[in-house]
Amino acid sequence: MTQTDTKSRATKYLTFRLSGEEYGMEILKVREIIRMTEITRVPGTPEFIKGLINLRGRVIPVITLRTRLGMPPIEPTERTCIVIAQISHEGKIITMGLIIDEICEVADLLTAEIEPPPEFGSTVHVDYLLGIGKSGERVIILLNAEKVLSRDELRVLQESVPA
Amino acid sequence: MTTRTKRPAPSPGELDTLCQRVESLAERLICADSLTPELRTEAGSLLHQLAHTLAPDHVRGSALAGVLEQRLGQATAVNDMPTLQQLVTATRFFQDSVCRHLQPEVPAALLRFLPLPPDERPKALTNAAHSPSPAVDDEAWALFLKHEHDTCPLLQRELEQFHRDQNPDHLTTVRHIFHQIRGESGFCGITHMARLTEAVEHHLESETPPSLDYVTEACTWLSAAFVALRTGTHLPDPVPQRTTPPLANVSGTQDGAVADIQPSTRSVATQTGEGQTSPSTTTVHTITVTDPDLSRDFVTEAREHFERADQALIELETNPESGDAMGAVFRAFHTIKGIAAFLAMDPIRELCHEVETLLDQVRKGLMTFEGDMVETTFRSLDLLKVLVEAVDANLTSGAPISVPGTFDPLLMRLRLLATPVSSRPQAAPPQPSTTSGVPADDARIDDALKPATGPANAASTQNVMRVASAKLDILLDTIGELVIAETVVSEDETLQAVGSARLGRNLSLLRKITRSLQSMGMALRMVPVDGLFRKMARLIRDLSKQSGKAVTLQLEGTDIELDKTIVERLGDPLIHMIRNAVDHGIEANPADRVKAGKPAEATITLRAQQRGANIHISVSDDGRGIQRHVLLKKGLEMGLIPDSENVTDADIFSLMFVPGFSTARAITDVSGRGVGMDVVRRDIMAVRGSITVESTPGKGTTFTLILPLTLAIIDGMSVRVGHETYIIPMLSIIECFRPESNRIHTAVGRAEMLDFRDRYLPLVRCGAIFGIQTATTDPTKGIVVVVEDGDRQLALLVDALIGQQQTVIKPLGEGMGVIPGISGATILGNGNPALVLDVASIMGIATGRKGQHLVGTGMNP
Repeated sequence: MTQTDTKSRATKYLTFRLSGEEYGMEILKVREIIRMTEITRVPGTPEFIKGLINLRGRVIPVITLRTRLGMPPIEPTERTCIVIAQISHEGKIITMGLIIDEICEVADLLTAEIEPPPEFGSTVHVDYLLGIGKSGERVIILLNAEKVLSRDELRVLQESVPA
Repeated sequence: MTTRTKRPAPSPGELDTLCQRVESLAERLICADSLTPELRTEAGSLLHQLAHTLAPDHVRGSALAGVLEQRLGQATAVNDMPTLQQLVTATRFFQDSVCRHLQPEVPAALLRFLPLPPDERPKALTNAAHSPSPAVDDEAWALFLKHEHDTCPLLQRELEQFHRDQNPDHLTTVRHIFHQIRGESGFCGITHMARLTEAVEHHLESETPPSLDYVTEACTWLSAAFVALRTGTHLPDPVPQRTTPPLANVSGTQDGAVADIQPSTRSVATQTGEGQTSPSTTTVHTITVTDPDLSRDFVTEAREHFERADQALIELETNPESGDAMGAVFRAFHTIKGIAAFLAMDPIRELCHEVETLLDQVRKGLMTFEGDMVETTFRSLDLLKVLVEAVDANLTSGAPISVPGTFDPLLMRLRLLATPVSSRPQAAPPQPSTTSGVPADDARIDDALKPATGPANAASTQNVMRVASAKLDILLDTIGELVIAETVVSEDETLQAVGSARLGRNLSLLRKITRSLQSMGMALRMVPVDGLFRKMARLIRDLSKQSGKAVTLQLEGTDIELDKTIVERLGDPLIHMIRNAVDHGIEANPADRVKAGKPAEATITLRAQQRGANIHISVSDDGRGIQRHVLLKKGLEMGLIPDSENVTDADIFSLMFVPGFSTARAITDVSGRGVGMDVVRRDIMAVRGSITVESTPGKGTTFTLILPLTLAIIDGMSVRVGHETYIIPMLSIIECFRPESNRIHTAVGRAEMLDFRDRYLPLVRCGAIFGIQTATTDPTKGIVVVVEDGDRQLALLVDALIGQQQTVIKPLGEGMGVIPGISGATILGNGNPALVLDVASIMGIATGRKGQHLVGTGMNP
């Protein structure tokens, strides 16, 4: 565990794997992690919206994070999980599931260990990146949960990336 | 006018999640033998979130969580590591504060994380030697000293943040902290600190923008002072001369005593008491919400009193001698005044007080309740409603509370009305002059109240418990989950294969209990329409006055119950319809009524009835009725009706609901109907209801609202399309059958039509509009479901019918937005979600039109 310094506070990130790379999301935004389950398709929605699941009686939309970030989808494996994330956007609480390849761990990152995302030009949308975290040898791509989950952003992405 | 916004408290959803996590951690900790690394991580992460979420509301809980998390993380500092037992105690503490909404003290077992062992306190106090110290027990003292470690850093942080983003919320937090420290330091007898914090608090309240240097300096002083108190050294010198400008300002309004921060011999108690006096200015009225929880209760309670007062005032108007009615009005104002005083909402208290003083004159027989007095009392009640609603808006959205300009004139008016009787003592001081806000003559008023309280109170005291609707929603959600879980279990294939009679019996018992729990849960949401109807009585009274038409209101079926959400949304449409009825339905000249053989005084009837699974609420007037030909003419002109042949009354009346149709002056004046009726229709459709109109020329008009009993449940038909299951609301289904090929026709090679009862209905393939490849393509192998929305019909082609069931509708979730053709989702017996079709929207998709022009039952968009 990282020694917490009063000057540079550590933030906790849940890290997970997507197509071999390690991604992170602030732990405060994560409600829980569940196994892959039956998903009901919803017609007329963008491709990355996988559908709806029943989370203990609540109906929650689930998106394929791979497709959302422009990566090719894969068939679910034993390790495929759904991260239930929650953000508040314009006064509304949005709860959504994110399908990811594999859960890694909860990592502490000091502010000093996080760098702003580099400019990739037009090939990669940097909007939904919070920064790049470095923990020893590891590189963790930190996602901006608000941008990934909020509907405005979904719409923008839907327009710019032909499905 | 000063307004303040509050930093948003954690939402019920957040708290709910947090609560679940706390409960589950508590369970695991209790079962654990030792503090495993996993438990430590989980506890750390939870404490981290607690520290974050509790911060705005619960400074101590947040700080405790923060300290514990930090200590947990420091694996090397073994001495400081909380033990398993201490974590158990901590989770109990958080269970109480987060899940049960209590405000527990930090448990003694956790006090060892506090910076100062209690036995050092006397030394600290004597050395500080600044004040006569009241007896403060060790625990309170330790808690007070803890501010050094939790509150002071928080203060610094908030100030820094304000410096960066200029968000006034941070200042509000800062002010709250100063307020808290002021109270506690006063209690502990640290006079210096009490004075300084008080001065800063006032500075923050009265100065915009406040002097940040001053506040920062005060923070630094506070930190130093806490260190001094802990170590037992002398307090630092008081914040020096630089503070003079802001303080001078304070002294201007505060009588000098408060502003003086030099040591003084006056006791702390007196000073803190005086500190609560609000700045006395005649023009600026401020309402500050200091305690959101209590204020919320206050709003609810005040609304109830308003209703009663309205009703009683109407009675008083016709019967000024009624002691019961006067008692009811008096009690309403008196109670609201009491709570407002407690919550320091001065304008509300003041207004109530003045009305009370006036009414007291009447009670004593010194005045008669008539004329201007009645009107002014009504106006005061209205203004009170405005103020209380503003408080409510502030609580929910942080909207500023503004006191309308009519406030002062109204107060003057009330005082004027109350003064003519010379014998009255000066009981209504123009300014709040007492510290607690409770006027001195309250004892007298209480005496006056006594006779009336007896019988009236006994009648109104029911054994009623008030529960926050959020809690009720959680309960209902949980019951919903139970119902689903029960279905999943009893339909489990493995269990059914067992074939045991005993298991079968037990399962059916379980089902029975679950269903009765479900129906009880639904009953909890039901409220009588009585309250809603009573509000209309006040409206009719006002309208009758304004228009000069004599109208009485008759209420029927007030005990009929409806889903609370529906009742809440019926207010506006009913007001609209009643206003129309009075303005346009009822003859302007009573002589016309008498000529037509009707009594001169018109009657409007509000009636509630239960008809099957629906509730009918009707508004009837005995006026002149709708003039059919005028509507028809206008409809023809606007091209809304193709020709005057074969037009039914329903067609013509439905024109009233077309947006923009009725705004034409000719219509409003001549036929006199339907201003904004499209709004009414939309409101009613939003609660899945519909409207019908009946009218007989010369006899009157009746609008009937047909409403579902509850919004949460619909009767649905589940259908299969390919591999997927959809739910169609039973209300919209006319017929289901397997079509023969000779009844299906194709127009222009594409558009399919179904011959149904001599009409050709568009045939819509669900598989096609929802893009389901596995769906049946041959209509004669599938099932056609004929659905209607208003008087439009449509044939939906599905693969098969699965069955009929009661369905709990759930929203798709904020992230999903609006999906065309879908109104919501539900959870099937197998635990999977299924989508509920929105018939009106499917018609829109199929016909390329939006179903706007017709009245009817429709799923809301």
